[in-house]
Amino acid sequence: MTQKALTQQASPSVTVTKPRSSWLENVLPPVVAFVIIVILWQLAVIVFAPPPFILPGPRGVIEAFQDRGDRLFSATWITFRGAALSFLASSLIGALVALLLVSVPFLYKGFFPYTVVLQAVPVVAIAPIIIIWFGVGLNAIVAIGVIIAIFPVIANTVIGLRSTDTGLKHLFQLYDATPWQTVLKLRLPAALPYFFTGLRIAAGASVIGAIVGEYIGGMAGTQGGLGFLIVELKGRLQMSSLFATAICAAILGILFFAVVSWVSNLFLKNWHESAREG
Amino acid sequence: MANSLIDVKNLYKQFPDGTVALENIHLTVNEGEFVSLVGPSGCGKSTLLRILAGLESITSGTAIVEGKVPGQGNRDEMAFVFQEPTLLPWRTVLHNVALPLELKGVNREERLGKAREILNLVGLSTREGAYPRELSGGMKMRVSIARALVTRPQLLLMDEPFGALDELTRQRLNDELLMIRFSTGATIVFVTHNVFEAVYLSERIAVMTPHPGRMATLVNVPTPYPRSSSFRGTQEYSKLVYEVLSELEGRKAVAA
Repeated sequence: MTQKALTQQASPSVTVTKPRSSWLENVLPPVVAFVIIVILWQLAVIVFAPPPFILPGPRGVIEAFQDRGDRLFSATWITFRGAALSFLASSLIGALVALLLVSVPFLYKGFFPYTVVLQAVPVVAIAPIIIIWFGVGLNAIVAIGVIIAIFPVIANTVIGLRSTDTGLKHLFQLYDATPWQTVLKLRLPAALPYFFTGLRIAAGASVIGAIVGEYIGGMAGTQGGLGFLIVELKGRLQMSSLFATAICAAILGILFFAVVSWVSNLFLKNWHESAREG
Repeated sequence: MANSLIDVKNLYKQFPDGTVALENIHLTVNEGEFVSLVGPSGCGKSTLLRILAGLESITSGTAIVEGKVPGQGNRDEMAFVFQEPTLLPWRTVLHNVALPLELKGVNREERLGKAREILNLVGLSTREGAYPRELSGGMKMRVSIARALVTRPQLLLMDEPFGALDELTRQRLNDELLMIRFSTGATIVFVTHNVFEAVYLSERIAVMTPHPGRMATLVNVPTPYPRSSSFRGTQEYSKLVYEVLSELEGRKAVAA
């Protein structure tokens, strides 16, 4: 009897959903922290008075945004375009390659080790080669982006496709599921959390790839993205503008990551641990 | 004549690493019977069940299930319940239960209708929209059993389905299983290491011993159905439990 009473008491607390902590509670602390950092930064600039080409103050950075707003925006847009294209290409091609590797044992044995190893190749080392092959421009930038963004997608998706629960595989076998049904209704959905982990890494990597590509090959003038702008501003020691450019690049990276996390959460929120929070 | 649904003769199973999992197994299960395979881990009871389902090959001997060699096109009439609930975590209860019909190409309306009927039978109608992770262990197992029943199988093979549940939930599910059997008329082969559970549920108990897996004896449970919790308090029940336990210990207990 006592045990029955206990389980009855315990079960509601498990199923009851926690009241959502208020928006303010979550957003306020980081905002306050941000304001404090900016104030300290401004104070440091006032107290130590470093030359503006070493450390600009927040005000200088804001001025840079005002003076070069159009240029910064167009450069961010160009980099965004390159990064978005390489991200989309990496996700699509990466998923297809993963599927192929998993379906053909020889390909898996022969090529999968390389996809793991190639993740470690520093992109700056191969970027010049790509630029010589593809010529300066969007093609080269997308190629560089794909080279660093595709391997995490392949590696994670392959691991996901290969780690299907044995019990579930037996279940599909018992109901004489066709290979196509097994892939579509079991292996692909089971690999989804791994695929999204790959995409999160690829999101950051494609922004890095685009900026490195522009940095090394770049496109001059108004066609230049953030990477090229960085080279140009560095040459002229425009420190506050360089800070503004870095902020744009950071925002771009965060934006990519946030979009992928949001989509991932949309797909996984009902069933996967990784999507529980947020 | 009672039709034998399962007929195993002189069956041997050796794993690739050389261990003999099953030796000289004979077993006949008649239509509508409830037979349990009881034994300690390593006695091959799960292996035998998986052979009947066609998930494992036979080294020598024969096994006939529903008139055919296991795994060769006789799965329409059987269902398997695993130790784990093995539900698809990305599907709701309703779509998990409808899965077997979906794999057979039954149209959406029909398969969801049948899934709802079965959910009604196991008392889960109100949770059809829930995802597995929102359910307790006992409820997940009920969904798993519902999924097995949705194709209206003649034969239900169950591999320690209640092993991971707490005692009270297990006893409740035992009663539900007997009720399900009553309303569906399915033949059940039930693997367990729990002697009490085996006596409570079965008509016959095949007692198995390990290293190598052998069938020590068959114990009859003559108590008629329906059985209820009061059966657990009877002398007959205690006697049968004791008998099975003695067989498991190789009659040492009887001598002592």
